[in-house]
Amino acid sequence: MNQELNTTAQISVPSARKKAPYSKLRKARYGYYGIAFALLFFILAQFAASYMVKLDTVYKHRLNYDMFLADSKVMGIVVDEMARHIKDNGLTNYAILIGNSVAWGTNESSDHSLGRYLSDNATADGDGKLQAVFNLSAPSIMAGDAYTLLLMLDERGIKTDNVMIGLTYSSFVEASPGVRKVFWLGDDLKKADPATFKKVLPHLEANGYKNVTGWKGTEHNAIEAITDWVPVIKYKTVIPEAIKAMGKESDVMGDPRAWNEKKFSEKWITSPQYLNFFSPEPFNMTDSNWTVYFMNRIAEHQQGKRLFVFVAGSNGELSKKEVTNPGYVANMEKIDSYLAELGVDYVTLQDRIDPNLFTDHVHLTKEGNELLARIIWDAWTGKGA
Amino acid sequence: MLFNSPTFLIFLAAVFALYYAFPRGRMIILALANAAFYAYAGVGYFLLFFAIVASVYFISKGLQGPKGKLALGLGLAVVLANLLFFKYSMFLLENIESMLGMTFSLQGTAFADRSIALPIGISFYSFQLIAYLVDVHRGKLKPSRSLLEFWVFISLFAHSAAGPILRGNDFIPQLRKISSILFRTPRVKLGLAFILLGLFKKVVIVEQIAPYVNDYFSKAQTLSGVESWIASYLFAFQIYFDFSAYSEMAVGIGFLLGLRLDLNFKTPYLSANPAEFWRRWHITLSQWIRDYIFIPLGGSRVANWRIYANLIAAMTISGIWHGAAWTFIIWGLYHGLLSAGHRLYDKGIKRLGWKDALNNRIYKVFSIFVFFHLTVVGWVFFRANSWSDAVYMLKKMTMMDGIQFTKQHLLLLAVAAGLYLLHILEYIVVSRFKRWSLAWQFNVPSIVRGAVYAIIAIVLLFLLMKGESSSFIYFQF
Repeated sequence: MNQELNTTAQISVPSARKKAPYSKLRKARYGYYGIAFALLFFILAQFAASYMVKLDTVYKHRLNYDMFLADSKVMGIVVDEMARHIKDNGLTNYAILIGNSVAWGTNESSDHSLGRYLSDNATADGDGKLQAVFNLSAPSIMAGDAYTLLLMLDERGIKTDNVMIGLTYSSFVEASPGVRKVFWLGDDLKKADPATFKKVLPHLEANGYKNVTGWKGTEHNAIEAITDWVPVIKYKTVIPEAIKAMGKESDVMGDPRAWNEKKFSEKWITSPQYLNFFSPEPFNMTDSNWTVYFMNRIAEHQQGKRLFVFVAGSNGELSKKEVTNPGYVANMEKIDSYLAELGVDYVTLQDRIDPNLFTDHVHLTKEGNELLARIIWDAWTGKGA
Repeated sequence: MLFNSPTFLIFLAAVFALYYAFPRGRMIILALANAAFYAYAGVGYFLLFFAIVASVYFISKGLQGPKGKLALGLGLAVVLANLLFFKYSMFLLENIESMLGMTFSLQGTAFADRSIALPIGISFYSFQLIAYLVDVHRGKLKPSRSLLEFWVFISLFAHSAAGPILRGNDFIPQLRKISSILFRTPRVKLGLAFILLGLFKKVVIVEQIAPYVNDYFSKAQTLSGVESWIASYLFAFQIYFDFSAYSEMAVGIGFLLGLRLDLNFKTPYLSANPAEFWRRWHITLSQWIRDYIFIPLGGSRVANWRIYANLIAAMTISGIWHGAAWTFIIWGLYHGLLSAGHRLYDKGIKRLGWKDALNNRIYKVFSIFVFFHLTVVGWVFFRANSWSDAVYMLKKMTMMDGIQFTKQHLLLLAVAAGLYLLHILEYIVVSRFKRWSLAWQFNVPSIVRGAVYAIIAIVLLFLLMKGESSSFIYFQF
């Protein structure tokens, strides 16, 4: 130990005062050096945080769901980092994939997810080769979130020339009440398209969304604007989650085994949540169905650009009773007709993937994701038509 | 506006800057800041608060005149009526209904849901107003010179929500010299240290243990004996760290503005008896109870049985002050009984000639251990959601049903033990604060100090911005 420290640590204040010159004591009490250094280190920490967070901190073939779950603002960070990555690498020809948990790859790791295989297909030499496919899917993403994401991409200058939207049958099931059709990004929609937000607000509020207005709203926005300028706060979820993830061997979320190697309880198969997924009630395919409304808005947004839609299928064995229900079959036909009328490229996948490649009623195994990626890519390039 | 919210920190920075930029306008700046702070919680309640303060101010003009008693009665009536209505009316109604065995219909009234939202800090400002009225009436305090001065005194944002309860004699003279307060670096540093200490207690300690406490007390009737003790231990530390965090931040804000606010806590769980505990726990409330309830009731200058009765009555009133529920009343009564019991015990020890034993170190440690556990038992009444929950938990805490530990129990007991060690550490640091603070500034290179400050600031910012700021427990009183 430093001799001076050792000595002074043992002395009392009166003796310290006796020994130390008054000017030194005064400097210690009145000095600003400590605070000035604190300020300097604080500023340096901001640069360090900005430097530390890159696209691969928040994204690996798909966004980091643990981070997103802890703070839905992470979607904005992913988009920001994507914009930086695109700019830094001079990318011009890429596609954006937006879908729900099927497209994200629930029950599988990022290395075995749809995003990874689609990226592999798209960047391999061949027809329609792309420089990259960015997968902005996440569990529970709805059509309203997808529309909002497109607006967020526009705002950051990310091209939306090639967009793939992943839906499921359940996307069209109406909430009465239930899952709101802008599930995650209500606040972002409010900023990006206030008119649309105002229109959809009653539906959102009826399904658990809290619209902060007035003074509280102004306060909320002001705090957000300030904190966006302070990287250690902006990345308050990302940095701890990234540190936590360092020790993890795999980022798999759920059980990757095929459904027939697992047990599904009677309780789960008869739960309202499960049954609602396959609701056979006739779909209303007009603008008053919020999924249709947002899909129409997406189609409008993509005028003159490429838009491809895939509707993932459900497990024909595990959910046989539900997917063979005449109501379900009729609704699938309605979805087909709607997408055909919308004039976009699309593919519906019910019964096109072997039930053995499902991990549950809708999510896919590694091989299932590989096959789905192949089907999508073939349809995208026109080979599978 | 919560002290542990980003909005408050921005508000404080703005007030601080304006305060030192315009020394002559300080009273106006503080008056407006107080109004903004209170109006943030609700404009209606701000208007009510201001109306009460203004009424008391004008009534107090007559306190030293020929109709002083009438003015005092009127002033007390205004303050107590406001407090009774907002805090106790529904409780009284429910008890009257219970006694009569009937229910009055409130349908069609503003109270159809049988609840009245409590204005923030109502108990604190009511006690402060009562002290002011009584002191001016007794001639111990000169009335405030202006409504502006009175408003700043009563409503100062640093303490209006949860104390400390300020006395006119201490605080009004400070306000009269406010424009001559200079910016002094050591004092501002001390203020920042207190604010950081409070923030640390709130976001690092309280926020982490609160979920366990809430979970345990929400399922009180399913707890085992061990779990009941864990819940009570953790709540003891939750309420201490929560309330002392607020109070220390209040003191820190005072230092930033060059104003002295009294400390409300002095490591109370190191008390060996009730008298010591109340000199270390919520000190300004204890002093208020002593000066305006216990002494007027006769204090210690009456017959022995009256002293015991006065102690019990004063502590029961303290319990009622905390909240309109029987659990709070029982908690106050329990502490009154502890105080009376200790007085009796103390007299007995002295009569037996064992006075020296009281100064024995082992006896002292044993007393602290016993009294800490008696305090923990009291917290069960304070925190339990109902009387039956409290009784159930206390029955379980006798451990008559056997003792069984799980890994989580051991972990939480270790957390409680760790918190107690932290409490001891706090005592050591506070008692040597001046010396250590000077040694820290004098001996540690500024670059190292700067790095430590930056790390603390970043960690606190991380935790502060992590989620919704939770309220301080004493805001509800």
